[in-house]
Amino acid sequence: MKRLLSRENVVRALLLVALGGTLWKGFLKTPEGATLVRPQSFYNGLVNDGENTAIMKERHRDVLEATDKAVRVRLEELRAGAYKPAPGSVVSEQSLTRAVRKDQATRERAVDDEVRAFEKLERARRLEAAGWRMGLGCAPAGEAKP
Amino acid sequence: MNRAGKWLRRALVAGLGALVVAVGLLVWFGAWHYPAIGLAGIPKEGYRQAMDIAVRGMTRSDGLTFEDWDFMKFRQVERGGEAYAWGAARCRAADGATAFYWVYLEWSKKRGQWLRNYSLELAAPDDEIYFTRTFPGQFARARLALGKILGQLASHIREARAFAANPSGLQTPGL
Repeated sequence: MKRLLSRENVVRALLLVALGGTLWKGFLKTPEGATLVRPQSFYNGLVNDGENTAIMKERHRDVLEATDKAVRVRLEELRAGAYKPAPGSVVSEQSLTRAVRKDQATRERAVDDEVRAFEKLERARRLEAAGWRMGLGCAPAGEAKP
Repeated sequence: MNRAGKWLRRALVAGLGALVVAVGLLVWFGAWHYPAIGLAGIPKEGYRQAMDIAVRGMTRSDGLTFEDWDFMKFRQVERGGEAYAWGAARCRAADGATAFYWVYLEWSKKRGQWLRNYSLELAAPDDEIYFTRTFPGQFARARLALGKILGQLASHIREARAFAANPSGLQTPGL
């Protein structure tokens, strides 16, 4: 008769434990597992992500607004003769005028991005306030609403 | 193996070693040393002081004179420890023209201090905003981009050297 506590059986048991741990970790990564088992850390992560994104989008709009100002001041000074581009420079009255329009086009998009980022943050906060959990069954078609 | 082959191999190994050391130095300087210069010990709430030190060093090494902040912002998250400070500074170039400088600092949770992040002169003469689809051509574009990267590296090195020579010289008196 074979012994139950052999070296091979210990290795087998350890492998099974490791496999179970991996499965559990993977389950915690799914929204179902995270909202059911660790809702607080799930919502902390969701809100933190939303906050960081909103700050980033605000910064992106700010840098475009600051660029707009820098280009306009440069154009004014070029027209007044206070700024003289170096010979062979890509800066000219034409390219500065174009840069103002280019910056505006990018800014229109950046403003939208910022609005969307704040909507995403508010949605994360709404879900948390409503105590939303992703069920294990199949939800009816359409977006889950708190 | 003959003698020539042996020496060739040694030269190759030495060359590779020098390359690895050079890349390592570049990464150390750009990702670890330069962003932190002079900002250690300033708390998160001391972002004004950190921005002040950063903008003076950056503008001076780019040959600009800092005049005042056009605007400055501080943002931090409620959950988690991230914090950010950014702003635009109004500067004067050597020829008397106005220049705007973008300064962006991030709070490092790992190092517990402010770090310099992507900062540069706005609408500088080598900025992509002046380009069109066909002008300048591919080679001129590559030359301008390479010049910008190397210029920024040189400016960062100048800033680090200036700070090493005079550690307190970058700060506004009384701040």
